[in-house]
Amino acid sequence: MNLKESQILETALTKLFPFALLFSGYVFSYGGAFPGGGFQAGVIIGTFIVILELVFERKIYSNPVFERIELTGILFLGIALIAGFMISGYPFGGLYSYGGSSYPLANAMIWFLNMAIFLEVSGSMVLIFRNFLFWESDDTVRIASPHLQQAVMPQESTVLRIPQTKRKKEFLCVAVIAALLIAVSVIVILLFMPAYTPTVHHGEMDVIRMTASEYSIRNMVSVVYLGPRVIDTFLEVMVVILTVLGIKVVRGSR
Amino acid sequence: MSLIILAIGIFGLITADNLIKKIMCLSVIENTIILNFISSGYITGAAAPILTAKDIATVDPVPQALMLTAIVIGVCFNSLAIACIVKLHEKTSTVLVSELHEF
Repeated sequence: MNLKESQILETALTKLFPFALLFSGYVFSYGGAFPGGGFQAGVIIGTFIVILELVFERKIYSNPVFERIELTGILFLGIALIAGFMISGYPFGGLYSYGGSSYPLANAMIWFLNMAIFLEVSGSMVLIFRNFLFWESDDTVRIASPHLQQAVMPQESTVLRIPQTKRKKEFLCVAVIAALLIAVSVIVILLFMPAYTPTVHHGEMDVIRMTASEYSIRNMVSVVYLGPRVIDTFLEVMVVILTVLGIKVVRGSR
Repeated sequence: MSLIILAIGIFGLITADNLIKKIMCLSVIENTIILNFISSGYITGAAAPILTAKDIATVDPVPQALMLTAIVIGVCFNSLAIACIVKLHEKTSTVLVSELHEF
């Protein structure tokens, strides 16, 4: 299928792009107080760039540009660490402990951490999808590389196929084992798993509410997220960078 | 509910011959875990965890905050696994486990 022929897609996407930018900016900038955040905004803008590249069949910016965008994410993490330390005496402005940080400082820290995740995710989304779209090399543009197509729908291969009857027997054996495993695990879970109380206790919910109103944050998810946010941001940034590096290594090795 | 989907995922993971189908089953299992956590915090008739002027019951925000990271790591894991499979297919021109035994 040649998407390049479609005038409708090209016109519609070019008209929609500013609105996508605006929407991702809205989701990002209200991330601390309302539903939304850095990750969601990054995914919105990243996938939109991927769609643009799919339709126009060419790269908008080169790979190093998005790699630099990714690395800028770490820079914002560092800014949050050092600025928080200089202002309040704690790294990240004492965000990791309730009450260790004042309201305006906490909001600023959340903004910086959101920015780190936003840059990280928007850069890596494009890079990850690009590795599957432009598999051949940096110059030749080939959407949906033949390797990937064959992998999804394998055709006749030169390797000797196992006879059909033997396959059926193997499949039956494996299916019986799988059914047994599933039955045992379900029984074990039902019998021995302790009853999990679904909601936080009433007092804890009140604490969350009070903290939310104190920091004037309306999104309670981000209030719960206030403490572990620093560690979580660091973890996400590291995982994303390692993934992009890993894909690069896998792709490059001959 | 999530237990049933988990069973489907494990069954597919064990019986599937195609490596890409195995990865799909793994992501199904991962989604069941997310579904399990989110549904454990769900209260029937409660609102989304956003503070309003009125004092109404809201859904537990803790599992939602936890699952944000799980989704990110799931995306990264899937993309890395698929990249490895594409590389494998370049070398051996097959993704079926039964044929990979030949090499």
